[in-house]
Amino acid sequence: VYVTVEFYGIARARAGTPTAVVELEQEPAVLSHVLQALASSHPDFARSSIENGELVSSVIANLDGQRFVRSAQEPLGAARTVLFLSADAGG
Amino acid sequence: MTHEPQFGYHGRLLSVDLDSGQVCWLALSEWDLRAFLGGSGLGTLLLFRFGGARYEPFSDGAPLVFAFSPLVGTPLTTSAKFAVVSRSPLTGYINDALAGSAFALAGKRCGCDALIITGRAPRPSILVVDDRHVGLEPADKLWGTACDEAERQLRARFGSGFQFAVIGPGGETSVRYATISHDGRHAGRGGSGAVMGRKHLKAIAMRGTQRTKWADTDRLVQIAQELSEASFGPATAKYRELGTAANLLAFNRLQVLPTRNFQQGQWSEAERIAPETLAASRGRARASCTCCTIGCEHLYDVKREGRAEGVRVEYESLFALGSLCGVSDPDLVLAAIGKCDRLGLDTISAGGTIAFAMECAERGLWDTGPLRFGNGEAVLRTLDDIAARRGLGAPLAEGSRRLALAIGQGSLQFAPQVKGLELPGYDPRSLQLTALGFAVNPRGADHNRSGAYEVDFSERIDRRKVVPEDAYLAVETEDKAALFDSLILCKFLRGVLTDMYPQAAQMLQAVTGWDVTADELRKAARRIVAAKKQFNILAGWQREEDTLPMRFLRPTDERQQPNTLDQARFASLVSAYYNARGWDADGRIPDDLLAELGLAEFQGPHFPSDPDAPQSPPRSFNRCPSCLS
Repeated sequence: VYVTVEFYGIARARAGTPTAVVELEQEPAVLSHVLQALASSHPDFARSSIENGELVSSVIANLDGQRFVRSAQEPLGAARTVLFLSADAGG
Repeated sequence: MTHEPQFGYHGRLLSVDLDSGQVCWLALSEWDLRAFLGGSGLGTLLLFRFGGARYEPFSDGAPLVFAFSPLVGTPLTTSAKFAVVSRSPLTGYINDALAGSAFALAGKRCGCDALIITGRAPRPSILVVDDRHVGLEPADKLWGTACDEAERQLRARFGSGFQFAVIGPGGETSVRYATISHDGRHAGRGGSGAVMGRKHLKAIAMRGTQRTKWADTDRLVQIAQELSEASFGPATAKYRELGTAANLLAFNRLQVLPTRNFQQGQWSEAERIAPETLAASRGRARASCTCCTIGCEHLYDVKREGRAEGVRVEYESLFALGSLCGVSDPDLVLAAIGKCDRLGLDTISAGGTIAFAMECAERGLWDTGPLRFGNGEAVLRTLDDIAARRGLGAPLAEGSRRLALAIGQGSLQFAPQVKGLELPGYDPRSLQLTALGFAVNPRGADHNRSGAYEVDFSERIDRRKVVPEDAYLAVETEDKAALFDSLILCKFLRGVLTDMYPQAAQMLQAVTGWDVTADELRKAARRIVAAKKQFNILAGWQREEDTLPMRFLRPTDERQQPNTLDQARFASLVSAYYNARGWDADGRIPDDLLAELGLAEFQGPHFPSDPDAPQSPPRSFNRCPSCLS
């Protein structure tokens, strides 16, 4: 399964790119699989955003622009896009 | 608890009546301070006690309160802030606007926990508070100057040590969303600058030498060090590295970036004004308030009169004068932000009112000439016209609600306001707990007094299908905001303060010596929110005002995802919020709850607004033994 990853804000600055595509071999896919893939493909993002296999509190994920998720065990379901953005939306 | 506090506070306020010239230092009891803390909370209490609910915002008797806080002057990061509290000329209800930075330190060093101004000076003036000496100086030559120029001239005139709160031309002409500016930052929302302008005050100059003692300095320094270290961590990286403008592209992707007067939540041209794009094409600098380790301010260069000028860019300004007006030329958007700052106009309300006018033109309801979506040059000219109340600018200076009432033809349904205050940059259709927060907040549609968006942007709820059982979350975030705004600490610390109430209690213990607990602060936060609400009730609030414009409550809208909010469902959310607060079905606070919260003095008959009403003496103050009057 190919999943498109979109980075916003600090996540983008750390990843050094607005988007990436990761291939997941596991089924059913969960957020943890995306995080594992990014740990090798985008180590700077992973270093700042993932701790003990989970997202740090300052970062949150969103599936397909719809649902926010945090737990690494969250199933991706039919989602094929995962967004990473700041958990703090203060303006 | 009627004795004066020993630590953290001076235990007195400074009252200045511009009509009579009377200056009075009045004692504040420890109960008042412990119950309302400072900033927004203390300002609410004092506005009420000085009869604020009785006076129309522009009447001479209307009080204008500057409230400091127990943490001002401590080494705690982000604590150098002050609150300006008055009745809003936009909403007619209570308004509290906060700003940093050194003015808060200077004000508190004058030996007062709050400054209350009533009356109207006979001519444009500067209120000068130099330690315990208070006077008025003429400001005729300063009248008409922009905020930054006024401060520059004041610094040259008064010398070092003084700090200034000023208004721009917008405040002088009573634009209902005029700001009070200090060092480029603004007490921005709700029009407190217009209230100050009506009092003929161009500026307040403060300088002082009086410091408060702290109960446990060693402990306070330790807490401050820990907080500062934590504030350099990942929880604030967004603010430090990109600023609030980092919201723009994420919000656009999530379809919550208000565009073309909230007709859409997504904008094809967002990339052009995003901070990522701005940073790549122009000079950038960072700044921070005094005593702040976060440094969220990002200034981008824009050409003005042939030279580069740094403009502070916040998400709210960027959305309001960019996507909301359909303007994508970054130079014009930055120039508009800089112009609002100089004229002393709230960018959110300025952009919201202009965008509303643009949609009226698009629908053929009003001829706005070249002021149409996407015309950034026309926006710039219109901002000048608003501040001068010239031509089209005169009705626009009234804000979108009054403008809609004048235009009629159903336009109120898409005027982007709640209670008269223009919506900030969060589309309520897809952020439905935020929608609830906007509707019920005493200040009007506001993201600073209701932090409900924190929950919408989390896994805790479905942001497009919020249910009545979620309403307690709007209460929780509103209470937390009330505590932040009363201590005062910057809300950008919220990710750093992992357990806010006990941590705040520790800070207050160290500063004041009180045995304050987390539960006491939870109750204080509820008290402060209830006090604001009760103020509004006394000022004439009705339940039907706790709602959103009809645009946001239609089951579908044409250009984005189907809107799941409708009138019936939204009304059920509002009712659930009242229930979670212990208020009755009409949103009124039962007398026993007022008494339980220590707000018995806020009970009472409805005060009819009467601009000619004689000013009653403030209740519950004791004359300070060292009163100078």
